[in-house]
Amino acid sequence: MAHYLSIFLLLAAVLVLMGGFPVAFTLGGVGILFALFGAQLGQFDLALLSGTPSRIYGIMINETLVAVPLFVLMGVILQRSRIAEDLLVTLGQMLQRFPGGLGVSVIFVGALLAASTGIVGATVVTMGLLSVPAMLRAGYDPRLVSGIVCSSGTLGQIIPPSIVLIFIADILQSANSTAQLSLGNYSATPVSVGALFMGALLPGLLLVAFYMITVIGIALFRPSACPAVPQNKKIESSMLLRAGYYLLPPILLIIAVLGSILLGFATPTEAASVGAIGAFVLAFSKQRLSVSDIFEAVKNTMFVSAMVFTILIGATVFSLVFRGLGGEELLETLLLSLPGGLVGAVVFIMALMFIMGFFLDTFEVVFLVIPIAGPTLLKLGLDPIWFGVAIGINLQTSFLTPPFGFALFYLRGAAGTLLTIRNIYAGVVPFVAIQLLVLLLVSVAPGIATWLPERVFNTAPLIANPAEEKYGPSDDGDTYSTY
Amino acid sequence: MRSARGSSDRRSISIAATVSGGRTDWIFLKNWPRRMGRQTSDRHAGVCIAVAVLRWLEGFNIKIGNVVCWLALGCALFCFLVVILRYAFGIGVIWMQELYVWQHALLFILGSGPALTHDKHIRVDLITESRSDKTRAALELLGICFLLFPFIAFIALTAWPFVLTSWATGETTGQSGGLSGVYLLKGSLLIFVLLLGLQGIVGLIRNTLVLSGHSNSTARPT
Amino acid sequence: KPALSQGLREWRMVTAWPKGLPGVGTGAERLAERISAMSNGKLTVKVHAAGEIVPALQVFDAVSQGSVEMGHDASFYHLGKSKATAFFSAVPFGMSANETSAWIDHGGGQALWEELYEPFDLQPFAAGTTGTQMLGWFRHELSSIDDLQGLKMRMPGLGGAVLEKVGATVVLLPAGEIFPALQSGAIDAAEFIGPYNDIALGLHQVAKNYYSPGFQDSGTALECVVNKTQYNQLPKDLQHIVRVACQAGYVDMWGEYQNGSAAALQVMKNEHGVRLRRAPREVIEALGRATRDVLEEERANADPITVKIFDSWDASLTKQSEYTSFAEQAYLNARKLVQG
Ligand code: NA
Ligand code: NA
Repeated sequence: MAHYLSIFLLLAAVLVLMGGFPVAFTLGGVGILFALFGAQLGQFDLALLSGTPSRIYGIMINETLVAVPLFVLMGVILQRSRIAEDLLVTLGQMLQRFPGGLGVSVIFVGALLAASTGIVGATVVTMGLLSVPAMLRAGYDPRLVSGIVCSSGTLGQIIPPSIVLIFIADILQSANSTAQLSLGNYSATPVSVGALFMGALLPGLLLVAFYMITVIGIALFRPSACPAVPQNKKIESSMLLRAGYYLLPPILLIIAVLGSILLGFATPTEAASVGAIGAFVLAFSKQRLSVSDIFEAVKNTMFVSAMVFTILIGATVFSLVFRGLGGEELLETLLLSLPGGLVGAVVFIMALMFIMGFFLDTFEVVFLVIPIAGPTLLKLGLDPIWFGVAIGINLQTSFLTPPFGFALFYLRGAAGTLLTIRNIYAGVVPFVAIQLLVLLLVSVAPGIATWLPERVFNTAPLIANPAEEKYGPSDDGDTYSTY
Repeated sequence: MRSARGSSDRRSISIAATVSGGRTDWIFLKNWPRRMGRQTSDRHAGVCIAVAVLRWLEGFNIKIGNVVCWLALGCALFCFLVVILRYAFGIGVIWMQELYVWQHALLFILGSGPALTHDKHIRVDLITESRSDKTRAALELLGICFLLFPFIAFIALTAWPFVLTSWATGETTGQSGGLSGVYLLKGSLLIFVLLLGLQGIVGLIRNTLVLSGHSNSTARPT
Repeated sequence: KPALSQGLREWRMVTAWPKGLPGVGTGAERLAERISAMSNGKLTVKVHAAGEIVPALQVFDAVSQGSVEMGHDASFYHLGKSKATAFFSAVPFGMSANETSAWIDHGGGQALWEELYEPFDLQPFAAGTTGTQMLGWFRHELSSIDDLQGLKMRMPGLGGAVLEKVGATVVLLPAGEIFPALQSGAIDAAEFIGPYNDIALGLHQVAKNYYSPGFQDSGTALECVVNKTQYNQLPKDLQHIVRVACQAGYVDMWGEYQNGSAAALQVMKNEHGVRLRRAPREVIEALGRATRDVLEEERANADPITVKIFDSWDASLTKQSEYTSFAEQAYLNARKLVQG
């Protein structure tokens, strides 16, 4: 009986969230009330909650999360100086002959940004700041704007490098070694972060392609939703010049940020700082940044960071209470008593993670489900890379799905009064459908996820120079031993 | 989900508008019987005090926010400096690597209260956005009393021993060459609670005023 | 709790390890199972992976404050509380695994450790060891002391301070981010643990040079900390069970590492083309000199309890290393000579 309190906790959170109080405090507050209630019933050990400050402190000193305010700052600066808008509009004009040109270019920039960071909060907010005003000004349907921004903003989770995939790989690795050891396989092929990155690449690109096709389709059948960017003759005649002026600097900046990650100059956080400082330099060079602009920019950055991380703090309390009320044991019982059959089990677990993704932070979902469900499924012969990629797409979809997808909250936060919540909810529906389609495709043709990592990592062993193999050239025998 | 520039807030004009800002509010508070007493009822005078307290508390959070937000710039600059030093000069400075992480931590820990002041914390107001101001004020009061206050009270209770232990041992970071004031960083959790709590009180006052028909007095800062 | 009136206790053990992480994680899980089994269910221990209740580096605080009763992590994760914690896990060019257990169990280490943890209301036990670790994975060959200049390497703690002294750039990175950073070249080298764990991270896919020896982790001990108030409330038999289970856990994990790493090393070498290398003599000598400097600086700035621990440890190491050299090392060299 006790464990069912954890189910009531989830249901209560849904109801109370609808009351319109801030999400962060609703999650935290409902959690605390249930903890007190559970303690009254003798079902909850309040001592457990004293771990909360440690959990919050863990969020505070997580170096990876520093990328959030830095990418947001970059976005705000590019937006306030209207560099982003120039970039997107110019791109849209160049793609004029294609219907939905501006929308396609937003998706393109979104995919670039997605590749450079794996943090949903940062990408959605940055994309929201960069592109929402530009698309609205160009006369786009606010619903389409919302759909484009939310979907391309969450791509960061699935297009490598992605922090979520790093965590998934980490936990799948342990689950896989547990499964393989119990099958008597001592040297299982590792589920490395690299392999999972490779596995997620094609599905990620597939999503990008499908998003673009959708926008082009909408442009063809309902041109009023994404009208062509207006341009006058004078501009057209000097298109190349314009392209050089408006396109080159920001694209160079994005390439610098991306390149510094992919080519190995910096970690995502460090690259984000290059992006932020680069945005300042660009804006100064165009003389489009006053001191009050900077003040507004850093203030916005603070608001967005506070919003994102206070939700994380609320969610961390909520999930600790969920555990303390026996949610973990409940999940365990559920998952271990799954009806037979690999397919049924996988579908069930995917559905479960999808729903959990509404309330809990991605990392919590990953931490809760994979360690319990992973070993069982992998023992049944499930490919860990496929599983990891499917989880990635699944959680990304969860983040996009109304009414609770975190990405929708983040976009609403970034767009302010420009977009209503109804716009956002209605706009993401076609994109959620695409997500499910791609998830289905990857399920029917698992090779989309597994082919590339097999090609890259499971090639014949790279025995270099056999002479080196013994102890390598730098081995000087027993030089520093003292026999 | 509603942001600070919500329609009802922008429409309203504060009776305290003439005394905007925390500084003048004190003068306002001192002089209220002389200034207001003649034309208004005692009840109205009570409203004026409430508004003055509200403005002062709100002004406090706003000022904190206006200072704290610069940490975003500091964070970017120091992180950038670390990149330059490492990749251009091959120098690694551990304290600087920690400094930008700390700036980021303080940005959202100290910024959370001010963000609430500006109503930047995201809400799901799909159902409530079409309700009357009074209904929303009642819901907001419930939320403050039964969600926000229990949440921050609980963080205060658990953070207290956590911070005290750290202060008592003068905890530093484990990294050689790192920053030494870990106890200060941990201590910021208490300020997180304080700033949110102050804004909670502001919310109590504002929404009580709205419920008692004084919604004109309660314009939010923009 | 009704269970308590029947003399049954349910404890939680938070760990710094991902669920099922071979070696440290599995060792902690077996430790918990053994306490439950040895006490015939009077004390059952439920293990929580890193992040479930508290993040990896917050185990110490959680147990200290009584959020949970037990924790499993490494003492040197808490250098911020006291520099002396290093001595109970690993110090550069310090003790091997058996030397550490000699000092802690029989050379006065345990009493000093308890004194150090007293203010935190913690009862410490050595409850595992990784054995000697590796220097780490290098994208490029390390052929001379010059290659250390500007080398960007992931190495936490005192080992990092030593590296910095010889001109390397030390980068702070959590374990999960080593792979992408090494792959992209954001770092040139990284240390983690040894073959048993490193193969799981897949580091051999992005850096082919595997260097020994791990001067920074000569025989890293893992700790089990018990909330002291809770520990003192245990009946004597259960206290004894916890203590003995930890001692067994030390040897048990050591064996798992030796067995697992030996097998993993073969797989790395034969199936993945990893180049096994030893650090050149001049590199080792430079690291040794830097270690002496770092330790001298640390001692000069240390508080009294740290100085006391340092001196006890140092005396034990000096005494033991001559013996180890004359006995075990001589034997191992002899065996290598015979085996060729
Ligand atoms: Na990404
Ligand atoms: Na190590």
